[in-house]
Amino acid sequence: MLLTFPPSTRFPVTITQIHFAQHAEVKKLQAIFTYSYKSLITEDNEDGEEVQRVTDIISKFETPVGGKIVKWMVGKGSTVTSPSTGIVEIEEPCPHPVVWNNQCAVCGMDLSEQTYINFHNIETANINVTHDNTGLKISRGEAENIEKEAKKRLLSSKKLSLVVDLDQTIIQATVDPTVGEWRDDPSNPNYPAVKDVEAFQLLDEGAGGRGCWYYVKLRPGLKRFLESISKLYECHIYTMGTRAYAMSIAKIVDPEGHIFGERILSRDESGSLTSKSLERLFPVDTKMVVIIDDRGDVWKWSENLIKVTPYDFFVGIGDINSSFLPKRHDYQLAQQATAVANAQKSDDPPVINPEQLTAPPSMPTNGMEDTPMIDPVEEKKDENEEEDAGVSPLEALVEMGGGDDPDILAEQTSRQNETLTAQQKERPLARKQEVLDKQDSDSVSNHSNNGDTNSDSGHRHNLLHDNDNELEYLEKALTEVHLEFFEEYQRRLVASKGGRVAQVRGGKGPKKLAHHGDGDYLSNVPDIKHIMPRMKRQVFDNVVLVFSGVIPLGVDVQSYDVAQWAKSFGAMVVEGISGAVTHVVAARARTAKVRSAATKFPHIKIVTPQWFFQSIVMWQKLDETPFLINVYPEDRFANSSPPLPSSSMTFDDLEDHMELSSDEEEEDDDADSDIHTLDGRPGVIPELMLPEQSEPPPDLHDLNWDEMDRDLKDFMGSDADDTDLESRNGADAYESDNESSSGDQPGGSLKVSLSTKRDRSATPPPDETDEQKITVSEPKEKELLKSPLSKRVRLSNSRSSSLKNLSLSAEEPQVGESGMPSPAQSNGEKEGSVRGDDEDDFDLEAEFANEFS
Amino acid sequence: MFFLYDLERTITLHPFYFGPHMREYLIHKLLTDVEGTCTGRYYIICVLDAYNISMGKILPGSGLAEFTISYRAVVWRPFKGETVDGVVTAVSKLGFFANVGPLPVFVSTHLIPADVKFDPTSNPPQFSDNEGQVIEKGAHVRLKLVGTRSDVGKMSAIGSIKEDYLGCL
Repeated sequence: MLLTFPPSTRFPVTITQIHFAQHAEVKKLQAIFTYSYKSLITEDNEDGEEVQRVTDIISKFETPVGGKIVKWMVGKGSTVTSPSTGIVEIEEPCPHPVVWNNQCAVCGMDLSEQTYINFHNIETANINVTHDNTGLKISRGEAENIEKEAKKRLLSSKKLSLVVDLDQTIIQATVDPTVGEWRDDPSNPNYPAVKDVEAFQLLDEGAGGRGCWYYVKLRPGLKRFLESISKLYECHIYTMGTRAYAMSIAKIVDPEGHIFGERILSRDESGSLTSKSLERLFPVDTKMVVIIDDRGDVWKWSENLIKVTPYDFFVGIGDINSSFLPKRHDYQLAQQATAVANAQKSDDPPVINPEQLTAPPSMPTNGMEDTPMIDPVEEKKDENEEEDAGVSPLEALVEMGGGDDPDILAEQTSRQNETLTAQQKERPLARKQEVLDKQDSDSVSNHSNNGDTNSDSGHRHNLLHDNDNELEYLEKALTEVHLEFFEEYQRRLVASKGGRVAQVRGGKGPKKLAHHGDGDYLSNVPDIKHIMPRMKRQVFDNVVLVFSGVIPLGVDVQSYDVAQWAKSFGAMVVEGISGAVTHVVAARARTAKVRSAATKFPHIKIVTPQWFFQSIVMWQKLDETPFLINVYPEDRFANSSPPLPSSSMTFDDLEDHMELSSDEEEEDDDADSDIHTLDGRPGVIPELMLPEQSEPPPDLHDLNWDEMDRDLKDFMGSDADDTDLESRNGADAYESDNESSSGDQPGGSLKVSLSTKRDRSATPPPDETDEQKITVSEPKEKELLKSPLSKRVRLSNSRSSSLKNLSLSAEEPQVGESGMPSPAQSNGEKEGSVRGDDEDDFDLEAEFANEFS
Repeated sequence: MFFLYDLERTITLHPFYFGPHMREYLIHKLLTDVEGTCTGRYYIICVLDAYNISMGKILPGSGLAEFTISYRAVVWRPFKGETVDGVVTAVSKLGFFANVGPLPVFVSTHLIPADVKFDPTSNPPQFSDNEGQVIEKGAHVRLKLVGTRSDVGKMSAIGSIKEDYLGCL
């Protein structure tokens, strides 16, 4: 240990004498050298007057630790000026590598003892690596040794480490006693789903210490999953639940204890209540660790993480141990996704009723009628909101970062108890089932008309559905990661050894591996943090996503959970529709982004969130076709729609489209009309007028469009001018950028693609050529913030959400002819053969205008 | 090591208990109060007898009576270097924990013979030398204390089995 002067020393200090030579043994608190320093002292002179003068003061340095002097850093007469200068290095007989309860576990010395020199030596061991005992700390060197051993062992048994979260990842727990009742009541509609729910009681938790029954539903296929995964991975549990809870769950999922063993880490030992840290378990390196968890934020989106879709069996219960965490936001969406994904699985090959997908209410449509499902979920939403209001002060506390403050901790704990008690008392599940039953009786008449097969109209509906299949895919993904990791490892091993000998050796499997030296092991271990992201990123390689209706307004899109998730799978997430975008993930069929994508960029696939979530679950980019959203007005083009553009668009295609869209003018017209609508006549905005409903608009082909055009133009004329001005300014700003990027493209090609896109009308609108002069690049939404249009955004932000989207796509008003709302700039995919030029759009607009005015 | 130790304790009694059975009550209270406690230096295992109970002194103002009881008790004090027997309570990769009576002891891998290795794959995890010596939860071990540590009301110790005749029993 290198000794230094304490910071309180009066520097500069001169060493005057050294008492011990190198290699000498010294005892604790023995004076090992003498030093002098200057100090101002007051003394009385002969006349009795006080005089201040600077004196040399001699002092002895007593060593705080005993041991052997390894090396003197200073010599006699040298001057030390700062506390950072080392003086002497003393080797202690014991470096205290392992410390338990402030006591060195090697020499038994009590390290918390303090001497008058005020010197602590506890810092030597400060890493906590055991799962269950927080009093045990080890030094860095010791941790490295241990991990080296562990790594050797894992490599020789061809395993990786897997950190498993409990709540909503492999199980879901609730304290709602309703579950217990349902479980014992075979006549209950939920009985089949809950009959294998396990229950346990924790006595020291719950209100009043009376004990609390927990009902635990295992994720379907869990046993099999753990069995097969434990052959490839050494599994650890890392949960935000208490120790007792974690142990009970472990007993349920792994009764023999051969999967998790003692490797269970709960919030009692985690050290933080708001985040999880791999370093807590793997302090030195995390190259061989994979995490599965349903929340990415607690892991700070670590590269080791596989985020799974939250398991939500007990509808609306969520994670009972998450009261310490910030609210999650991907919750409901993912839940829907699972629901739909599962519905799809049940009727394989996936046949999705277009009406389901286009049905604007973004409710899970898992095979049964929409109606009974809608209200429970909405009710749940309400409950959540109530809860939010109640929890917010707590959350504020959490966010203040006081996670370790005992007061806050106590408050949080009591808060969690309250939540649990509330759940026990209020029985949210029972209430939801009641609502469900009520709706059943209400909608019996509908059942007979409805062709849906899953519902037997005579019976009560069950609230709980046991149809999750996440683990199947997760197992596959984990197996692939494992395979990839060890293939890479073998490759590196061979490469480092060079020659055939190594190859033969490496190929002979684990036994032989053990003969390699340590160097081989450690230097050749690939890093999961590189391998896994590489595999994941292939999923959405070259995919540029825009979320519409998925991410709430007013949050930072890029840091939002869903976006983070998408990015971890290689997708690029942008905020506005542009030519580079390949997919629009839309929760509703009628958002502005959907429409602008549909009208301007036929290559953009507009898909449901289910496509996105399921692709992520399965680790492969699924075919978009079954997930495409039928864009309004779907019926007009749906029947005649040609096959979609190939799902895997090459980059060249993409560029063409970008080119097309960036230089093309009329899209802007469409957008303009949106703006006009917004400003001038809120009454005709389709979103407002069309409450979410799925029936197609009536056939309006035989209306007098010209007349309507004129009417609307008159009506809108007044706002058109200033809108025009504003957006033109904005447009000019992009123009230069755009030209630089696409200036070398021949204009002719644009025309061609344009005409293929819209070849329905024989005559292009006369003003099209004029308009071509104004070039507007497409990354509008991004630019929006800088442009005058941002004013408009702000304005529209105060309105309903779909309006907000509208303004985003709004570009440049076209004074000449617009004035029409463009509700139907949709059908992007379907209208490949459709002539969707301006007139056509106006037809649609007018249709809607007419229909609703 | 066990000792017979003369100790004193002051007990205050509520006037409710004044009466013919006061003595029994005092002794009962003494036993429940002190048996099984740890002073930080030793554990009081068992009170043998209370050989002197002082006259009760009424506390002014409250009416409670204060008695000083002199008693003899068996105490156990662990010493550094002492060899003791214990029961293993937990096994981890860093070593194992054992209870020597009331005293929790940690035996680190540094103080376990090199041929006794940690085997994380076994269930439950164990230290084993593959020759019949298996240290797992519940096993009885003989160990030597290399250091003890006192805290207020509790103690802990570090043990070693890296010597002859130590280890699994």
